[in-house]
Amino acid sequence: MTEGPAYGPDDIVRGLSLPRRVGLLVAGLGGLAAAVTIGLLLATEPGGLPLRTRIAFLAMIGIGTAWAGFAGWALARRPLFAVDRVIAAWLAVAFSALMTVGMVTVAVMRAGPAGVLAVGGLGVALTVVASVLLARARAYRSALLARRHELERQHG
Amino acid sequence: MDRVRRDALLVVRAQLGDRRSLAELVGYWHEPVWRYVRRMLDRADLADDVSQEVWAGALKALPALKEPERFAPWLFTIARRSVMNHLRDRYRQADPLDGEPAGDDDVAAVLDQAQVIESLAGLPVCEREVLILFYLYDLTLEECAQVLAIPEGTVKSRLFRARRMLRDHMIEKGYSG
Repeated sequence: MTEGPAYGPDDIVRGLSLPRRVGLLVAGLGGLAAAVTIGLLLATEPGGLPLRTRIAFLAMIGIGTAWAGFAGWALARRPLFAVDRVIAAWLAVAFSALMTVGMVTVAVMRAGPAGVLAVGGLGVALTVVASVLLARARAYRSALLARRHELERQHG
Repeated sequence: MDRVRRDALLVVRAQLGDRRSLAELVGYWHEPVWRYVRRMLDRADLADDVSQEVWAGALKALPALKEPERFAPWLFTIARRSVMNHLRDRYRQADPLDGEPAGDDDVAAVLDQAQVIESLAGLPVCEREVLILFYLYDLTLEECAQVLAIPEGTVKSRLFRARRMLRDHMIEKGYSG
């Protein structure tokens, strides 16, 4: 039997590059942060907004949510290796912190102390969750590095 | 460095995110996986589809592989699952002769790879796959048992039966024992 596969190993590994994953993460987290912040802005608006403005806000929320959904779907279909997990967790921490600052700023300008507390609490909770994910990702990577050193030492 | 150790190191490096090690690992196993699927399915175009499905599943699950030393049986388990999904209608789980004692016989003497490959297509799926894993990919009995999800004793008895069937098949084609 001299026949062989019609595709090569490169075809299998293609699509797993680090810049592509980071790009997806940035797009997804950025979309999510934008959707949440604009949603909050819309929800806390004391006076009625003009119809066009409301439509524009809703469209932006839709676009942000769509990017977040697409990035989540695309990343879930691909393996997330240790270094990817660490990068993803760092990005999540950064975007959570950024989103918290944005939400609290909006709340300070447009809502009372209860609103500030509510969005501040939500932001802090998200940042804490992201930080826990970061700690776990770093621990996982450290364990793998130790395993790699052990294997390299054993096998020269 | 033997196969198991080489794979373990490549798996751990790939799990860390080293794309070159991942490419190397895929490069080593790309053709064996395809050939396994091809011999089980007997259609090249279907083998392409199924082996791509195997790699998609394997790469997705690779970061969670806890025992990198068991990469080969783990990979062939995924391959087998994909193949069986395509063979489900024809594949018979029943193995009425399981437990038949394994033993050395004169068949081993004539089992070189070329003859095995040539005669494989004539064997039933159960017997064909155990011969492929054991003789063509040099998996150990323990590894075959993991891939096939059966006890080692059953692997031995299935191998025993497969070699007898292969011997009969080869004698029919004019090979001498």
